[in-house]
Amino acid sequence: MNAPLITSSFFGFVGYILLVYMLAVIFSYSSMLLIAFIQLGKERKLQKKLSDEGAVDFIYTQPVTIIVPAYNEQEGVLGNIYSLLALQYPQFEILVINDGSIDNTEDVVIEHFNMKPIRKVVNQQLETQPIEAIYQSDMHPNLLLITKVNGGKADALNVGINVSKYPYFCSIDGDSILDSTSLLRVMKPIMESNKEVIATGGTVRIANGYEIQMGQVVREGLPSSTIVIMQIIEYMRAFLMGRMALSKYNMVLIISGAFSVFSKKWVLQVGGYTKNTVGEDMELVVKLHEEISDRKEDKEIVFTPDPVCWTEAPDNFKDLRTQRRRWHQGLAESLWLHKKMAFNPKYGPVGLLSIPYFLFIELLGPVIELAGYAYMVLCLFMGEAYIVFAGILGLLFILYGSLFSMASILLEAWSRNTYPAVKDLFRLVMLSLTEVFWYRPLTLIWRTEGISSALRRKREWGSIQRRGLSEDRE
Amino acid sequence: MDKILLSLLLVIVVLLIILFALFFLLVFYRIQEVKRKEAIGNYIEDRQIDWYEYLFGDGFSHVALKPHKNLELEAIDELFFRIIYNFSSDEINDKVNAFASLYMSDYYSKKLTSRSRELRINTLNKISLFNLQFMLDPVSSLLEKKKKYSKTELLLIYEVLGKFSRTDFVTHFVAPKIPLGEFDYKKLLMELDEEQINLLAEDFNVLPELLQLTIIEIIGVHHYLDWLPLLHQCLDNPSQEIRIRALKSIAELEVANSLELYESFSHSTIWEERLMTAKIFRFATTEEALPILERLIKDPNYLVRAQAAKSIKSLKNGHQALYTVITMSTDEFAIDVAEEMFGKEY
Repeated sequence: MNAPLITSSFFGFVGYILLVYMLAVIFSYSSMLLIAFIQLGKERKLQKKLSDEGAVDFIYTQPVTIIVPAYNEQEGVLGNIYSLLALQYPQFEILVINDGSIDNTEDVVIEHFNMKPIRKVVNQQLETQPIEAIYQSDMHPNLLLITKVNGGKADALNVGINVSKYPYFCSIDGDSILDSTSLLRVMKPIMESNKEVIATGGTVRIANGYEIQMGQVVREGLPSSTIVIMQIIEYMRAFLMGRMALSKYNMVLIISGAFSVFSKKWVLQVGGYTKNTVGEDMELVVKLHEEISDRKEDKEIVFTPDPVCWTEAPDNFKDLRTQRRRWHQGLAESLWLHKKMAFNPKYGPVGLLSIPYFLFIELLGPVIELAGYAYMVLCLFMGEAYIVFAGILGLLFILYGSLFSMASILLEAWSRNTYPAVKDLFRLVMLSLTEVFWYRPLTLIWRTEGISSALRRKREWGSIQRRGLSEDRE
Repeated sequence: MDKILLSLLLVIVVLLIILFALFFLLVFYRIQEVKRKEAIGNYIEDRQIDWYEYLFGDGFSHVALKPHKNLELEAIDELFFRIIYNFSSDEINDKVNAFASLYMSDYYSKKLTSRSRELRINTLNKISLFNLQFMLDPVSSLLEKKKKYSKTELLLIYEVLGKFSRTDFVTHFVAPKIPLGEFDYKKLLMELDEEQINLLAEDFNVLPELLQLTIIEIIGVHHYLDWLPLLHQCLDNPSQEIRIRALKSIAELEVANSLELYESFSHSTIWEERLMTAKIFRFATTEEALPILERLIKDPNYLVRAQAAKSIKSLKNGHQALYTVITMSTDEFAIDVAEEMFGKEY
């Protein structure tokens, strides 16, 4: 066999591998889309406000500690606290953990909520950086500010767990805000399962461009920035397709750190949040799954599509790149830390399906997809036979990159009767069709950089410029 | 290869056409939905004065408000929700009930037997929320049907039975069609009044344990003092959970007699029992409580120590007792919790 023939056959072989991979991914996504469609269809006409009424009752609603880790959040923290104070929930405390911020986060909170230092014994169940002071609001006695030596988000959350007095805690990012019914609805699966559910996560939506006053969304609408709109589309796809389907079979590995509730008892059993990873939210969920299987308990971790947390998305390429690199690095680290679970029947569907899905589709997907893009370009130089091959790959990319996004937008619009407005819906649909040509390749590159950072064990978070969601920010 | 490419191209074009068709269909339904909501809004706006007169005034006849179209029924249903949500009172509930029984019985009955599970759930929720007592029979009859209802529906049916029937609910609560959890029982029992709880708890010992636990908890929450002997009886129960719940409810009842019955639990190996004992003793006299609480403030469990400190603080001369702990105790943890009590008020 001569050299050009070997090259050509090898090239062809790689092409077929890419093709099979793409078809497998399309099959997975289609199945998840179908499951999400069925699930949403079951609840589409439910008037949830009616059942909220019945749920707000002291005795059978478990009290919750809300933990807000805040590092340099002076722009967003007030809006966040206002939204938490307005929650419709019978009994909760709010712990704002100032993780050694170097801006005015501490002063802003102390001044705004009239906070006074208090003495409080902390049950040091998890090892953390030392607490410097604890303040309590005069106006809202259930609002506490804890200042501590900087130790990262996981450390701040662990401090919150140590200080918390209730059996469940809700973690929420310092720059996010909650709808007033969000906590009630995210707690419902825990209550209704009679405590079989040990963690739940809600939907996170992007609020850039929304009108927000005193921590409440007063007007919804699409922002003008295309890069933010593309992230809105991405969030819809990720939350509706990925998490809903995985949740149905208790296989969800990521519930967003921006808004999730955990049973404190279970989190303490797994040693709290892990500090040496950048993806502490996923890491905790994977640890919980591992613990559930090790103890052979029938517990669940679920994603609930309805309760909404609003967050601020990066509105420039630099910050978006930092965020995506970090997310992907977190994913790589968690999968590496729990590699023993992969393909291990002891861990049930999580070990046999979920972890392989995250490994081959979510983690390695960007590398393989980028290889696919490069392959298509090379095909153009390899003669006529390969041009057809390039065409097939290109069409699969469109199917996989853009049509699934469009389908997710339509699914979201169908499941929610009034959002988004028709004009905005049209804009989302049209932009989703462009995704595969510019936005997706960019995110693939950034996510590949995340894998590289994980391999080099980089520990930098990188900073993202926050503007704050509320108009009443300081 | 060309064939595959062409087929794939065809698939993508077809998918695109389908997606765009769905998009336009969605837009069409969205416009319909917006129109429907507008029409409901318009009805409410146009008739709000009449409704105000009927619900909040005296003598305004309901005949003028009689609905003639389905859209009007939907608008009134929406109006009821807004009213009940914002101003609930017995008088308003009675008027809503009277109006609905006259003109909306068919509307709700039809929805109750709808093929859509979501519509049935919404209707059951409304029957319970609007207190539509005349719907008791149609709701009860659902249980006689062969149809398999979801757990949410069955719970709502039981909730309606508990709310509107004086006795029929008992058999369903004791032997439900599906296994109920503690949360479910709490939700159901919260709707019952004292007389109904008495009826349910008549044969306490033969009830399922989860129902027993819930009854114990409800006794504490609602301060049903008459049931204190039952709680005392539960203290001898072999089930640890029943004993803990009974102690918890005794603490809620704020009783200061029969302390000798509780004292032994301050030596229990189960920390929850020691915690509840610390809670109970906050209502005892300082002389009786202090020796026990001073021991519990040195307990190995943080929560027991914290509760003991809290209870000492609420005793007569409690501040003085805490101060003594701070100055005299050699137990570092006890001093910490005692100091915390001086520094915080909530």
